[in-house]
Amino acid sequence: MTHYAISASNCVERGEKGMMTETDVIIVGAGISGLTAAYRLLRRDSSLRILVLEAKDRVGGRTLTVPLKTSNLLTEQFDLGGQWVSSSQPHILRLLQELNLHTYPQYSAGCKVVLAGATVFEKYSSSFPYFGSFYSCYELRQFVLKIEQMLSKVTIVDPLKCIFAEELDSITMETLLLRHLSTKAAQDIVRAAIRSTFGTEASQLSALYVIALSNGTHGLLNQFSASATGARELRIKGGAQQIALKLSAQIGNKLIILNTPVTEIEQSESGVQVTTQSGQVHRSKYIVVALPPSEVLRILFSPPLPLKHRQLLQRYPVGHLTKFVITYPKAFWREKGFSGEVFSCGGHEAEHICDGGPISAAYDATTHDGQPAIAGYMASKTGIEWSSKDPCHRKQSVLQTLSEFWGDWVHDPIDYVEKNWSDETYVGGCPMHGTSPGVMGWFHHIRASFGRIYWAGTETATQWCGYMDGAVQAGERSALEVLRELRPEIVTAADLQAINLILRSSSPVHVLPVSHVYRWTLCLPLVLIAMGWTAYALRRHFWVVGVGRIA
Amino acid sequence: MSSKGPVIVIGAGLSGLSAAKLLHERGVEVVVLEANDRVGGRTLTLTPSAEAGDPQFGWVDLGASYVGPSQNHVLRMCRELGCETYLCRDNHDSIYFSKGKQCRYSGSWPGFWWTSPLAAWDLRATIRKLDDMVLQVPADRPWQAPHAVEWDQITVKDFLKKHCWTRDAREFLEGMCVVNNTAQDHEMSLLFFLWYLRQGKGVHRIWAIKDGAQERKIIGGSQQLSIKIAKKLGGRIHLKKAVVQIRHTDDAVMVKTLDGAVFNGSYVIMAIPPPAHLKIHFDPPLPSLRCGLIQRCPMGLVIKCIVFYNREFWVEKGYNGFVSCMDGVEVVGNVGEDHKPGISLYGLICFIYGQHAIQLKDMEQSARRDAVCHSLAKFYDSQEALKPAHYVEKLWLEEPYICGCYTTYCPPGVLTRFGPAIREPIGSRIYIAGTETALQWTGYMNGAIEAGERAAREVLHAQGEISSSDVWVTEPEFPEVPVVSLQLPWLEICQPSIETFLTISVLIIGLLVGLSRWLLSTMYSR
Ligand SMILES: Cc1cc2nc3c(=O)[nH]c(=O)nc-3n(C[C@H](O)[C@H](O)[C@H](O)COP(=O)(O)OP(=O)(O)OC[C@H]3O[C@@H](n4cnc5c(N)ncnc54)[C@H](O)[C@@H]3O)c2cc1C
Ligand SMILES: Cc1cc2nc3c(=O)[nH]c(=O)nc-3n(C[C@H](O)[C@H](O)[C@H](O)COP(=O)(O)OP(=O)(O)OC[C@H]3O[C@@H](n4cnc5c(N)ncnc54)[C@H](O)[C@@H]3O)c2cc1C
Repeated sequence: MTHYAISASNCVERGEKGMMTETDVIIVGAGISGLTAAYRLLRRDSSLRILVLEAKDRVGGRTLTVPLKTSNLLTEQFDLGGQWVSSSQPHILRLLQELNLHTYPQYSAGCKVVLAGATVFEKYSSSFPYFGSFYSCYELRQFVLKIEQMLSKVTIVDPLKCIFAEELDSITMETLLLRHLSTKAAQDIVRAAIRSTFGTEASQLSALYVIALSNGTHGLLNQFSASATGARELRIKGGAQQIALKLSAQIGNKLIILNTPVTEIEQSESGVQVTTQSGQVHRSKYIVVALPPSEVLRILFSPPLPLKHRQLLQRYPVGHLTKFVITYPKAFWREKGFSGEVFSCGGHEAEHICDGGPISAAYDATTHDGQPAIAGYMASKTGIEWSSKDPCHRKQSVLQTLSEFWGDWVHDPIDYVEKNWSDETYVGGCPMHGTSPGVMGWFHHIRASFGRIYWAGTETATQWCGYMDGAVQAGERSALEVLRELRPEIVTAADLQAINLILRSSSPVHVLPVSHVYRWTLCLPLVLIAMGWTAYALRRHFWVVGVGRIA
Repeated sequence: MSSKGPVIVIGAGLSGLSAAKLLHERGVEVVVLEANDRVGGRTLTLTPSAEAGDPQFGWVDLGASYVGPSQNHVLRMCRELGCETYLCRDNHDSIYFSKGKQCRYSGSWPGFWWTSPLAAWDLRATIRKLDDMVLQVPADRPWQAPHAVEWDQITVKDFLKKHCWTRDAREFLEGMCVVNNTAQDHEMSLLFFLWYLRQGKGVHRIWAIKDGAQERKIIGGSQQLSIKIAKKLGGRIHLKKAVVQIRHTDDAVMVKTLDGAVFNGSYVIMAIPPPAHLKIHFDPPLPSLRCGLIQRCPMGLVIKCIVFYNREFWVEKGYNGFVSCMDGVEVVGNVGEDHKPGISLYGLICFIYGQHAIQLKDMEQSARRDAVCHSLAKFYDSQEALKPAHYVEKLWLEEPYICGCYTTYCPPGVLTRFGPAIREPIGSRIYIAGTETALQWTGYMNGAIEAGERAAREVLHAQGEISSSDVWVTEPEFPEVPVVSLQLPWLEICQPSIETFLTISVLIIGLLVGLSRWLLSTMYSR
């Protein structure tokens, strides 16, 4: 037999280039979550031997800050990944303070616009989008109110606990919104909001997942809004990747090994053995896996992960987001009275596959020292369709769409960059993951430790899951869990309580009270009917009296 | 010949082996890499082992077993490899079981004696509606169906809720969804369900024994096909070689396995289930559409077990052994009989799906056997079911490299958005096989063979050996197993749907009332 592929020469033995290191804790993934875990562990006990393994050539994972040309002929740092934080996100704010990073508010004064259909757009300046007819806005408010009521009974720790949970987990968000919303305008707004927040279509998400997640964000609206307590309230001076960069400096760069994707994690009675793609082997007592769930699937675990965990991972894909940032000489939109906020479920169709314009959402991204910029997303369906277009054509379409609101100024940017997160290896998509219906019963496995393996990463958080705040919460929780095993003597009662609060507490996170305006709108139809009826009755009365008089 | 090196086939299931066989027969060098320590993937045949003291049950399929008319690829492959098929019996009554109530029926669908003829009527009408919709879904590009977006936005459950009038009909169809796709109705996109039914030639054929997908079995078991192909390929198959990395350029591929071995080749054929792709590190990374797709096609969950008895007590009671039950109480969701000519041990093949499978997998084998037998005793209302002569099983949901069984399903929103990537080659060197990429009987052995051979021909085309029009060939009908048109009872063809009936009745009643009032008024005025 001559045609035979394998020959001794091209057969590389495992660990040939290998070295073997012994440590206390290995952390896989140098995103915010993994680095926070490492940082907290070292803060508690600097004698711990720690190693962070990162697949890429940089730290920060889903945060990435890059320089763009700006009006002062210099460059300025802009975020191509995660960027906003909020005053309702205690974990990240505390960390920012420790790292001496500062925030500034997202600019949101002035008119916002919603776009639907090819060119129809509407302006509003309230925090709630005004769109379509009076009825569609009314209906939308009712829907949000309904969801806020539901989510105050669901927690992400034990999502199946409340009575309507199974029903909600057997339908998609799309079905839920079709059930409650009858006007296309209101439906499209919700779809667009979900798209730009989750990077996924409403039809792909379990309704229970969205609702349980919203409990951890203190309400559904918080996920979308730039108002106080909303997810888009504050930005970080100098960019969000600094968090990871400063954390690595604190941890010590030599403890973080870049360019080493982990391929295998083997645990035994005595410890864990981690093998990387190049064949290096590292051993440790415990391991924290701080990866996006879709990346966990790539690693071979022996013994295998619990079945429900594996099955959950198969049903927990990541969304799609392309982010773009455009810098301008002047913030002309502000001068025209616009806030820079755009929300779109329409736009010009492009030939072939794109059934709408490229933009899903856009925001003012002016830096803290006033260099004007706009940042935006091409999310989910829209993003995927447009990702196959010629980059020049895509850029032109983005500018064209924006110019329809703000005029021809838009066409003269200083710099334009975009980043398609689905093309980034070892991230695979952005901004967060979402489950299809039917698996929320297994969801707690995402953060349940397995032998010597502990889980971090924002998707394992119980508050602000999918956000940088969640990444920090998860990192801190996993650090405490490891510490509890490794250094029980330095773990305090408060620490144990903190772990318990996160892993076991099944009471819903405090939900901000729904504004009275919403409650009041519930009565609106009744009031209208009552008024109509009274008017009618009075009219009859007067008519009778009148007729009587004439007679 | 454009490039050097062998074609590397990943996965020694039926699909990968069919691809390798075709290439090998054309004189192309192949190497097959398989993660497991055996060939066959989702086919696995067990024979009695003398040491273990097993009784003589002949053989038994723990994975795929049935073939039927219109599955011409697998039938032809059987013939080529010298395997024969035999007919399954279908001359007694089937059982539909729900919450302690047993309904015996002959023909395709149960009559639901315990409620009313309404449920049976409803069921027939909904199935007809499904069949109409199935015809609108193209087998090759389901995302181009006229209502693709609308149907992909909802789950099968949403559809059933909207169209079924009775709980019984709905429960039966929910069960059908689980039995066909090993996924619950609320997990699966309606469009995907219709596409699957389309590939399986409609609701009747996919469900039926006679003239349907369960008509025949292979004498000696279905794993034979893989084993016989593997014999032909000899040392070209490498077992226990799980692929973990693929590096590809415009003119070569490098494949690395878990144990560090490196294989260089000219092309790769990936014949593994979609979720298994997630375990492989690609360099350059996968295109975003493909990456999105493989994250969104989970596998179903199933345990298959066969319980053997010394007597066919169900036949004595007039049953053919077939049971479907999806009431959430009984652990067994579907039963069929394992009858082999000339063997005097009689088996009942039981499937445990979804949540039940997850609950039962951690039990001791004997406890699982008892749970299964308890369900059987209720189904056939017979204490004999509690005394099996032998029991074998396979926990498919635990397979590390297959990731679940029988096949993948798509949750809502996936097929229309990510579907086009399903069999699209990656770069210029990697082609995709596996039953999930088939056009005829996806999820079945037939689909595996069709997809494997197509991928092999794609490689031949890339090598300049055949023209592009020869990549997709139509398989001629297998002469011994012709597709006969289904003989549907007149009720199923002519009966109006409940909506139509109600509308017509209201119209008629309205007309009658109007008419009588008019008559009365004319009489009185006279
Ligand atoms: C465009 C965009 C906008 C966003 N906007 C916001 C926002 O405004 N506010 C907000 O709070 N959040 C936002 N997010 C989300 C936020 O960025 C993430 O939630 C957060 O960064 C997640 O951190 P992490 O540490 O959990 O995961 P990651 O940052 O993904 O870190 C995981 C790390 O693991 C590495 N890795 C993967 N596989 C392996 C392997 N096999 N071996 C070793 N290493 C591996 C990866 O390379 C990565 O560095 C946004 C995200 C994106 C993409
Ligand atoms: C219980 C059960 C009953 C069924 N009943 C029927 C039936 O009655 N009729 C019917 O027609 N079909 C049936 N099927 C379906 C049928 O078995 C499958 O459709 C068919 O066998 C799929 O073949 P395949 O080659 O596409 O995939 P597989 O058989 O799954 O082959 C894939 C192979 O790839 C290997 N692999 C995975 N990852 C890697 C890697 N990284 N490196 C190397 N190798 C890897 C796997 O180990 C596996 O061997 C049934 C399936 C099950 C489980």
